[in-house]
Amino acid sequence: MFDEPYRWVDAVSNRREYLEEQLKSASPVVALPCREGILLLSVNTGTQKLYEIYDRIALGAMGHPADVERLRNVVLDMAHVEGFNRSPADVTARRLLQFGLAPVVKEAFEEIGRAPYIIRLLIAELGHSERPTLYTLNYDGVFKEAHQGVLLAPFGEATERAEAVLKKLSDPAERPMEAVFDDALSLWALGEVEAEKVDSHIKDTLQERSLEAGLLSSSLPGPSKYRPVTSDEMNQWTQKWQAE
Amino acid sequence: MGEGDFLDLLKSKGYALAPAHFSSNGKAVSAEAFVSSATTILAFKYQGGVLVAGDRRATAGTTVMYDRADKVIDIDSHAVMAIAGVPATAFEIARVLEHSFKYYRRSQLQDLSLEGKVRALSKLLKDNIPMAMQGIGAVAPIFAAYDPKISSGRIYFYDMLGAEFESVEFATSGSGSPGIRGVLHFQNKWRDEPVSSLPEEEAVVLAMRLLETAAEFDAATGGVKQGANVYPIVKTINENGVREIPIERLNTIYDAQVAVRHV
Repeated sequence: MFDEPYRWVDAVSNRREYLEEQLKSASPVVALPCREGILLLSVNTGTQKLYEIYDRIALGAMGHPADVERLRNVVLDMAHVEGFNRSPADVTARRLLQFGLAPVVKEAFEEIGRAPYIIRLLIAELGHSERPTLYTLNYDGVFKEAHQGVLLAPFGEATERAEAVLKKLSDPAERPMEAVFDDALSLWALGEVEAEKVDSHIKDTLQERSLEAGLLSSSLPGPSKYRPVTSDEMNQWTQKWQAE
Repeated sequence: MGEGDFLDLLKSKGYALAPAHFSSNGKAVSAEAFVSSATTILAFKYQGGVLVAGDRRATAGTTVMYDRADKVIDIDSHAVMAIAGVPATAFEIARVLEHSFKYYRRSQLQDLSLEGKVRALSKLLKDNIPMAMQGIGAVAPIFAAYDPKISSGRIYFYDMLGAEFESVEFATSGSGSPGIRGVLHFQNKWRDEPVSSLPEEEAVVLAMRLLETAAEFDAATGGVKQGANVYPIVKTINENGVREIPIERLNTIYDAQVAVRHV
């Protein structure tokens, strides 16, 4: 059925439409550098969206929970076997993406007989010396690097709106986590609604859904540099929306 | 996939902690000739948690191989393993254990229970039985950790076959341990208060004196060498996690309360 090139291209194009449609209702995920390291933020309705992957690497995911889980296991296995056989210093986000995740995702996307992964992923890595690094991975296996910040959101207007805001942000890496948290929450909302509705959307969200945030920070003791942001911290930082 | 067992994952990639068969072509294996081993490690409860300490010497037969070995290894933020026995195997077990706990926490999205951690070490020692029985891979570690369920530190010691025992107050292991086990028992039973009531400063003094005593009677245990800045590794564990006592503090304590008073 797909042995003729134009049919295969059609089928891939149909998959893209299908995946975009599936991802439309997914909750966005934000990652921004901050003075302490990298702050990740999302809003969930029961399924975790932010994960610790290795000592200095975290994952943010939007999409189908079962697909996220499968890919999370792929990258966890690869990272830990590599860290054990060689050294934790040899486990890098770029290698995990380029040699682990991206080929698996691309293969599933292009093999028309198989179900593709309904995902969009974000990988954050705290560098040993240089600036934090952020990567995004799309359902077709394409990955990109970013430094200023990342918003995972449905393609189209939401992404464009967020990218424009990201460009205007003063360097978040210079500001403390609690200040960057504010920007991250607004960016997240921008992934779901237009700019003028951001404040009211955040207020509604805080009442109806659960905030989730994590921090990669070099100042944490021990080899593991990821910790979830506590609900006490988040309550404190979201008071301006809750009080009004 | 999905069970969070790192050792199973490693085995699926062809890893083996110990080879199932070891051949010496019918000749007797002289372990002492090439195996680096012997040591003194100890752990006891004190007022602020659990203290774990170990000397720094690694020997092979009568040869001192190394005098700066770290035998008290952080396994996670609230657990350490002190190693006695063959370093190659012991360090490997510690590495597997450290990765196992991290892998479990990250894949299962919850910490492994203390019981699970204690059993994990036991399983590794059982996997190592072929090497232990041939005299070139025996390890008899002490595992100490903070247990949030009872808000207290706990100490476990193992034999080389993997049997695990929880100690009430203290544990010792290694070639120098017989010389200090009795001292700890004596201290704990007949001094005014049990060892578990010692404040941290006195606990560190006791640990350093015990290791110096072991070094006096066991050639395979290394004592303090101030000139070379070699001190034992001393770590404490409580609800705040594992903390190493810095060398500067050990140096001060050694000068004031451990250095020779009487010949």
